[in-house]
Amino acid sequence: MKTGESVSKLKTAVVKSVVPLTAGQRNEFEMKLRVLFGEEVTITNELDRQLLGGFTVRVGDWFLDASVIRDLQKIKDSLK
Amino acid sequence: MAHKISTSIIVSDLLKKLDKVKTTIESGYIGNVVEVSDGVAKVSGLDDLSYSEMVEFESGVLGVAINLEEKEVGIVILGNYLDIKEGDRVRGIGRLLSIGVGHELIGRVIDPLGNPLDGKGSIKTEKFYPIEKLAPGVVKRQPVNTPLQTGIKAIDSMIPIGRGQRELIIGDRGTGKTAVTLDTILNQKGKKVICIYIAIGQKSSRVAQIIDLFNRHHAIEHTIVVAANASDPASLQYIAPYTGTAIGEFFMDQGKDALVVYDDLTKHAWAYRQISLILRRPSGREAYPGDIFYLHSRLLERSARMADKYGGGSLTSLPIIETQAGDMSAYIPTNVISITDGQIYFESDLFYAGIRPAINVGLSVSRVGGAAQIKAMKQVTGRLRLDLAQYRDLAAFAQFATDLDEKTKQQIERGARMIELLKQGQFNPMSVEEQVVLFFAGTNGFLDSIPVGRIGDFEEGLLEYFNAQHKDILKKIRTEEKISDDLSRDLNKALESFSKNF
Repeated sequence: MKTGESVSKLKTAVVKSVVPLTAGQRNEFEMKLRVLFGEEVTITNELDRQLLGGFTVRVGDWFLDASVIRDLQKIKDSLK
Repeated sequence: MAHKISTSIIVSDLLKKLDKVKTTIESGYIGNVVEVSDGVAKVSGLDDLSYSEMVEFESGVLGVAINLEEKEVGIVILGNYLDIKEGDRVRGIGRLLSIGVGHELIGRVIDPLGNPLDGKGSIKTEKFYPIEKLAPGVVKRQPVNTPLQTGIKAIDSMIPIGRGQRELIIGDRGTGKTAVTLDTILNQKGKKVICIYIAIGQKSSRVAQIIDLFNRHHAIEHTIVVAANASDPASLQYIAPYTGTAIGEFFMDQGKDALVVYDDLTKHAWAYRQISLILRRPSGREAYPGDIFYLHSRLLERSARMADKYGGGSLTSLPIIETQAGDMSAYIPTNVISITDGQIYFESDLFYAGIRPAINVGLSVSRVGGAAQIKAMKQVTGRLRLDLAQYRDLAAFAQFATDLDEKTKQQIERGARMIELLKQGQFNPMSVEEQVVLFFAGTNGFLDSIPVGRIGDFEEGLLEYFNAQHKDILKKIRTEEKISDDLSRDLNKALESFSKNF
């Protein structure tokens, strides 16, 4: 198996957030990701204070970034 | 001196800028570099990547995806591949490989990605044009009918080039191919043609000399230089011609005329061969990949003369191919000859015999021909090609000139003088009216009494004389574009008076 080849591609989603997810939020994630990927996805929640707010999702090679720090970075870039 | 900018102005300015900022959620696939070798990276994980889409590596280097395989993507690295490590993250940028185009590029020297190389500051362009694009269809074009004056007597008389044509310049190394294209670029001053010179795989010192030449002759004001030198990665040398063409297409779409010089496509083919071999694509003749023809055909087909409905602009191409030992039947030369609308063939033998430009008129052809010449030029050079062909046939007998009949002797003498007349120094492009005057003199016998060795002096003196005393005749030729009977009489009179005093 080559380095970089994802092991469990579509089974686990890693959701990073600043505060822990509520049960309702977890449910929503599970539903939305199931629609997106066509199969069951288990959510693992990690805490990352660097995000400042919002969240990021990583499922194998797929990522979604809705964090506040990314928004701030984009604003910073556009003001240059 | 106190600054009187109040904080409220700064704040309102910032708020205005912040209003314009839109933040959206970003999502996509992140890839990881599996393998890096010689300018190509294999990346896993970019499942939704498109062919020819741009990607960005963790180190900031850009790449373009040109091999989509089942589990990996082959990415050509557009920059320094030594910065990339195995395991680096890669993400798709979401747009095809494109370059910023616009009038701001005129007078600048850039690399194939649009970065400035001349140290004159960054270039802010408004539009982005894709580097790869389908050529305009048949309906969008009109036949080539406007001349592109190269300023070179041998070309404008017998192998004329029109705006929208592709004319191949082919010959061995050191025969003057680049020199002819540089003179053509110099000659476009004031003719509203934007010139784009694309240097592919050349020595940086050579490119620097060419840019210096443009600066000295004030040709840089209507020229753009795209440079991918010999030390640049093969990927940059591969996309350089397409970048230049995209820049030219911008001007063509605006209804303007543009000229593109590809110097040279042989090195371009080598760069593509290198990339294809590293990607393990099957190789064919001379180890070139199977689509080496398509590499050049899709490039050169983008040169066109657009129909008036689409702006009426044009993009003329002068691709250069270097042959080995004059072999025009080699693989790449025959490919490009079949694509272009004619070729200008340079020979080493002619070059060393002192005939410069070293053009073999017999083997050169322009498939547009007379449609790209003003009537005046056609009138004075109509028989020139034929006469020179006959002269070449008789040249072997030139040693026995005393044993031949009068007519043959005359043909030989006339031919020798016309060949002498066609010689031209470098950086000396001639306007079309001056050329018409010279050819008029030659084909009407005014040179017959001048010894062959003095033709050069005669030519110089004649042009000086006309520019000083008969500017009106030159102007008439330029504006009327044909030689009426009156003009013919004036020309004869002027030539007679000059010849008497020479």
